[in-house]
Amino acid sequence: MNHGPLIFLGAFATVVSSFWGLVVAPQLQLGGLQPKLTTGGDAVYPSQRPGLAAQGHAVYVANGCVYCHSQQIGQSGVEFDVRLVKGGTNAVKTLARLREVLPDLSDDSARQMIATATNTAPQLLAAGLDHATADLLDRNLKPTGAQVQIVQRNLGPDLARHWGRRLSVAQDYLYDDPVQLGTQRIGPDLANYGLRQTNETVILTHLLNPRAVEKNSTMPGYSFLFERRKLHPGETTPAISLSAAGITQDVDKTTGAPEFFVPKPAARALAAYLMSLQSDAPLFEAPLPAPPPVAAAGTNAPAPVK
Amino acid sequence: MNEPSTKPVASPPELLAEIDRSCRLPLLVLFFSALTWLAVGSVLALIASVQLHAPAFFGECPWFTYGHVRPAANNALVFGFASQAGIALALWLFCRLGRTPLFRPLAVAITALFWNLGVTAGIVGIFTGGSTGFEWLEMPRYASSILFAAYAAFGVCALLTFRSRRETVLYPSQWYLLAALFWFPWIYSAAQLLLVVHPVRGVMQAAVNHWFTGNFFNLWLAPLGLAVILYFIPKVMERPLHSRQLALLGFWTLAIFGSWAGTHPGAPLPAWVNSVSSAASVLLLVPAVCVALNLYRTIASRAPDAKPTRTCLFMSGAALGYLLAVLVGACAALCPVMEFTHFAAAQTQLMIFGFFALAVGGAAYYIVPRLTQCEFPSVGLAKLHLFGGGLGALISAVALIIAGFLQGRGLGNPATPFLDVAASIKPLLLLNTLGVALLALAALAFLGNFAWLLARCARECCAQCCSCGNSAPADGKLKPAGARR
Repeated sequence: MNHGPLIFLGAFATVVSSFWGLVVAPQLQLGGLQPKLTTGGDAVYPSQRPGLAAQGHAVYVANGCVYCHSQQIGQSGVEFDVRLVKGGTNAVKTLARLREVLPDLSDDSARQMIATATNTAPQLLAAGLDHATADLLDRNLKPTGAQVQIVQRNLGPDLARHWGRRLSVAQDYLYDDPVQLGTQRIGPDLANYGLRQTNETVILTHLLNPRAVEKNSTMPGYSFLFERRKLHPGETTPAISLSAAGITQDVDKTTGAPEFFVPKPAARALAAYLMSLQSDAPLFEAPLPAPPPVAAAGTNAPAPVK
Repeated sequence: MNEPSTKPVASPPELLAEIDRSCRLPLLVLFFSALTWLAVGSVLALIASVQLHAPAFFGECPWFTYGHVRPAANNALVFGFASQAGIALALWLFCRLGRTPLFRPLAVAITALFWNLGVTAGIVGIFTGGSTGFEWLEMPRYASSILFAAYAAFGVCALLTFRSRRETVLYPSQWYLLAALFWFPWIYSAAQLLLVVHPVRGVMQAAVNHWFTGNFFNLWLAPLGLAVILYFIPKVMERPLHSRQLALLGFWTLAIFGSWAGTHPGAPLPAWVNSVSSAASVLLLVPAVCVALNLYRTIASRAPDAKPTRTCLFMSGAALGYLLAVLVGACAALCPVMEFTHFAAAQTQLMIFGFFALAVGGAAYYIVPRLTQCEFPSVGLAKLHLFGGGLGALISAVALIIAGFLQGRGLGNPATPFLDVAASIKPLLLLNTLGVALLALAALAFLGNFAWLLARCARECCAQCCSCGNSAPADGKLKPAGARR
């Protein structure tokens, strides 16, 4: 291999192949994404962030929040619960099929279960099934006229930490520029921070002095986003008192008026951005788990079978 | 048949002197500024590592929050130090292996000033909040365009030097260097174009960013460093490289797998992209093992009484660092649990400090005395550099690997509160700070030794000029002026 051109061509070929594979091909797959209706069909997702939150995104980028906070929820899998909503019109057959799919069930308790399901609340038949098994159960019981509900549960440590209810998908980032996925979780994931924390004052206090909100927090305080001064008469900014920020009150001797930490516009924008972090819409590729069963059987709609 | 191509051939002394003369000014400028950036970057990395366990450190100063210090440190290290030193070494190796003097040395020296201007502008831009928000590409647009223009000039000079070579048989180092010199502008311009100039939409930005990051480490820093190691170990051992075929296998597998590695296993991209990329990360072990085996065999074939020189120790450490870095990368690709932990930082640390900084250090101890005709003044500082650099990288990487493992296990268990996970790795972050402090010390020792050498040389040259009239005034005056930059 003593020819420069050969090395040039080889280098060109490898980098072009990886460019096609890792950039162009995903671009063909994902580049045409548009906002779309959520699974319920009641909203278009995602929507542009409102102006203040969009400014807050710039503050987030400029301060490098991404080096400690990811915005990406992982999900390790799904499992399904099957509930009996209503006994079939053919009671004998329902009973027989039920005994068939759940051999451990005694005759009496099966009858009891059908009655309870029909009259009061859905009854759990089996939990933690994979999709095929749940579907089989459903297909076995359906011919008897019984109504069965299959409920999806999303699994994974991120979800168990209540950082989100489903995995993050490409659709979630459509309007982010630059996208702040993050590579490290020195702090918690923020993909759904706006759902966990809706109180602007708490967020601002957290930005000012994290340890005033969370005793052992390892986040640095961003006091330079605040201004320490007395409030003007009639001012309505969500100012933070010194004691709330973890500093002993130091009243001005001459006037006696207390000082406050007043957020600068950047801090309020950042708070607005953090509150706008909500990637929680039910999507076809990332369904939300169904809400927990409600008590009254009559109000239960027929099971949405996937 | 392999003999001439696997062994850097000895050239006549007058040719070597001519090459050294042509390289002197540009290489000293490039080395000095690269070492300055290494010291700046290491100190910034030290600040960032302290901030991980003491969040209030420098907290009141808007410039020095963790979110600014960390990208500034990384950019100073990869663009200010690694890329610049890599370019310097590429130029020198092209001259030595091609047996030809450097093309337009003055142009290279002036370009180096522009490169440093670009890096400085970029770092200041990051500190003042102008980051683009893409990891490893944080430098604002004005800075990256200066860097790109400067790189173009470097690249042209390097290619013309390569083209004017008198030795037609290419040594493996030249394959790596030539390919890397093309790879860098392609990936850098493509990433800038798709992220900053005409940004792609949504999560595709992350895809482009991951592609760039993987390629930047595997197709730019890795080949530069490997070329240096592959040249110097046979050189200082005075043995031919063990096998040209093995080197060939190592080169092409690096080109193929290196370009595909880099996407994060859990990224919200099409699943096949993540799978292919993870597989490539694991397969990168092939080129790493090829190079390591080749070097090991070369060292093993040395004369029994041969003492390992300082350069050889540095180079062996660097080869080990590269092997470890690739191993850590393969583990990260195989265990998605390690995502979002300090594990990835350990790989970066090994790549920059454990591999690249050691390779550059070893090369500098060989090249600089030949360029300046002066020995490094302090053996103590050189030893401090070797042990601080090697040990620091090892301590820091081990601390981050264990921290990443604990963090991954803790985050994977929802019963452990998040802050408990953070608290559990605090001792390891302290250990990491110790490692980074050693690295910073080593960088400062290296820079100090180098500056001392330049000062002494300048003084000697001045003394010569004064005593013997106009014998070589240009050299004596140009050198310190360039070096001070």
